[in-house]
Amino acid sequence: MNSLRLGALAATAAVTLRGFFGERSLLVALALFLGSIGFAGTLTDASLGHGGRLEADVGWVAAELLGWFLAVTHGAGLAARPGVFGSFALARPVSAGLLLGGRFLGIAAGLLLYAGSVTMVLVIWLSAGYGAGPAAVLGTGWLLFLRLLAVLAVATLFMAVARPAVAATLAAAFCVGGWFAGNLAPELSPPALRPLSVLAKHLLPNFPGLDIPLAGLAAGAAEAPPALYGPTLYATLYVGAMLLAALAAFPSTARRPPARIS
Amino acid sequence: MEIRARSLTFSYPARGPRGLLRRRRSAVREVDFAVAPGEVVSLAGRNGSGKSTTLRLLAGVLRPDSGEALLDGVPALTTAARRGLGYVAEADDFPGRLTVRQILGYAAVLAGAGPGRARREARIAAEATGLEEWLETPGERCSRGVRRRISLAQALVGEPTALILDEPLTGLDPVARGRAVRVIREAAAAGATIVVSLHDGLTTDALADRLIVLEDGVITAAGPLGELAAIRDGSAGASHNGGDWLACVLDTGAGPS
Repeated sequence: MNSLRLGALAATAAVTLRGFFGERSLLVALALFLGSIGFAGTLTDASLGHGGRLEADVGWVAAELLGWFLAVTHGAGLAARPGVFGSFALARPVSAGLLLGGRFLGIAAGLLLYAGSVTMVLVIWLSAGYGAGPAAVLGTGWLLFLRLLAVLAVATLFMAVARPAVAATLAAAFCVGGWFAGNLAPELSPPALRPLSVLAKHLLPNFPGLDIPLAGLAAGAAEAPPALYGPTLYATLYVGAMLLAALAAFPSTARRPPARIS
Repeated sequence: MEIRARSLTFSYPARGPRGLLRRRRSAVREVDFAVAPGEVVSLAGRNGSGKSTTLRLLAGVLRPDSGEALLDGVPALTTAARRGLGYVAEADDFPGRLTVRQILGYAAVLAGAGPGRARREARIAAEATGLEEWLETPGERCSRGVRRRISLAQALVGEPTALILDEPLTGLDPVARGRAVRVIREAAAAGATIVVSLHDGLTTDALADRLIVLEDGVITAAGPLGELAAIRDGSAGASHNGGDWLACVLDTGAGPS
C-alpha cells in the first residue's frame, strides 16, 4: 500500500514537473538570466567592472528575482493549467495531501533544475574566464535553491488556503517581509514593536540567513559544504513547517467550489 | 458498489448584486436516491438544475453542506471509498500537457496500479474508447470529441466498480458515441454501478434503466424508463418537443416518483 502511495506521489511530482517545463517559464527565465549576464558583460567591457564580478553579481540578482517569480507563480497556482488538483485527481483514491505533496516536489525539482542551470552557467563563465573557484559558485547556487524552496513553501501554504491571485500576492508580501525582517537589527525596532519583530523573525522566512557572500564560501570543494550546513538545516525545518501547515489546511479547502486548478 | 445520496444538500458561494456581499446560492437540496450494482441511472434536468453538482458530490470532489454521499456505505470523501470509482467531470480537466498514454497511465497510478499494470490498463482503456491512434498526442492538442473520449477512458482504467459520468457523450461523433454507449453498457453488464447525466432521450433510452429528474436542485420525478414512457406516449408535449420524450418529461416536470 505504501509503495502505491509512493508511486502516486512520484507520478504527481513527475506530472507537475512536466507542466513546469510545459509552461516555458523556465526557458524564458533562463533566457532572461543569460541576457542579464550579457548585459553585465557589456558594462564590464565599458570598464565599469573587473574580473567577472559584475557579471556574476548581476547574474545572481537576475537569477534570484526570476526564481522568486517562478516559485511564487507556480507555487500559488497562478501559472499552471488544469492538472493535479482537478476533479481528475480528486475523485481518485488518493488524499488531497498526497497531491499537494507531489505537486510541491515537482515544482521543487523544477526549481532545482533552474538553480542548477544558472549555477552551471556561472561556474563555466567564472572559471573559464576568470579562474574563480567552482566550489564557491556551487555553494552560492545551493543557497539560491534553498531560498527558492522557502519561497515555494510559503506560496504552497497560501495556495492551500486562498485563491491563486490572492495566494501569490500574500506569498510575495510574506517573502519580501521576510527579507526585510531578517535584515532588521532587533535593537533598532521600537520597544513596543519588539514582540512583533521577534514574531516576524520566526514566522517569516529568514532570507539573509540563507545567504552567504560569495567571498564567504571557501573556494576548495572540501571546505565549502560545512558553511552550508546551517542554512540547509534552517531551510529544511522552515520548509517542513510550512508544508505541514499547508497539508493541515488543504484537505478541507481542496474540495471547496470552484474546483481548484494547478 | 452501491452509490447512495442521503439528504445531499449543497450551495455555492456567490457575490451579491454589487459584488461585495457574499451569500450562498443553493444548488442541491435534500437529494435522496440509491443506485444498485449493475444498474444505470440517468440524471436529467435543465441547465443549472443541479445534475453536475450532485455528481461531483457523489464522486467526493465536493464536500456537501449537509447529508452524505456514500459509496458502498462509506462516505465518498474518504480515500478508501473512492477505490474502484471512475469519474468523468463536466469539463475535461486532465493534465493536458501529457500525452494520452501518459494521462491514462497517471490515472491508473492514482487508482492504485503499479507501473507495469498502469501501462496495461492505459492500453486497455484506450482500445475500449478507440484512442489508439492518439496515444502519443498531448491531450490539449486533441479535438473536443477526442478530449471527451480521453475523459471517459481515464474513468475506465482499473476496471471500476462504479462510474459517475457527467455528460460523457458531449461532442462525440455518431461512431464514437455508439462505441461509448456500448462501453458503458458493458461496464454495467459486468456489475458496475453507473450514474450518468444525459441530455437526449435517444441515448437515455439506450443506456439507462432508471431516470431521476432534477429541477432547481430538487428531485421532481424518478422511476424506471418503462413507467416514464407513459409520458412519452400520452402527452401532446412530445410533439411540441420534436418527439423527444426526455424534453417532454422536463417540460412537464412530472412523472412517477
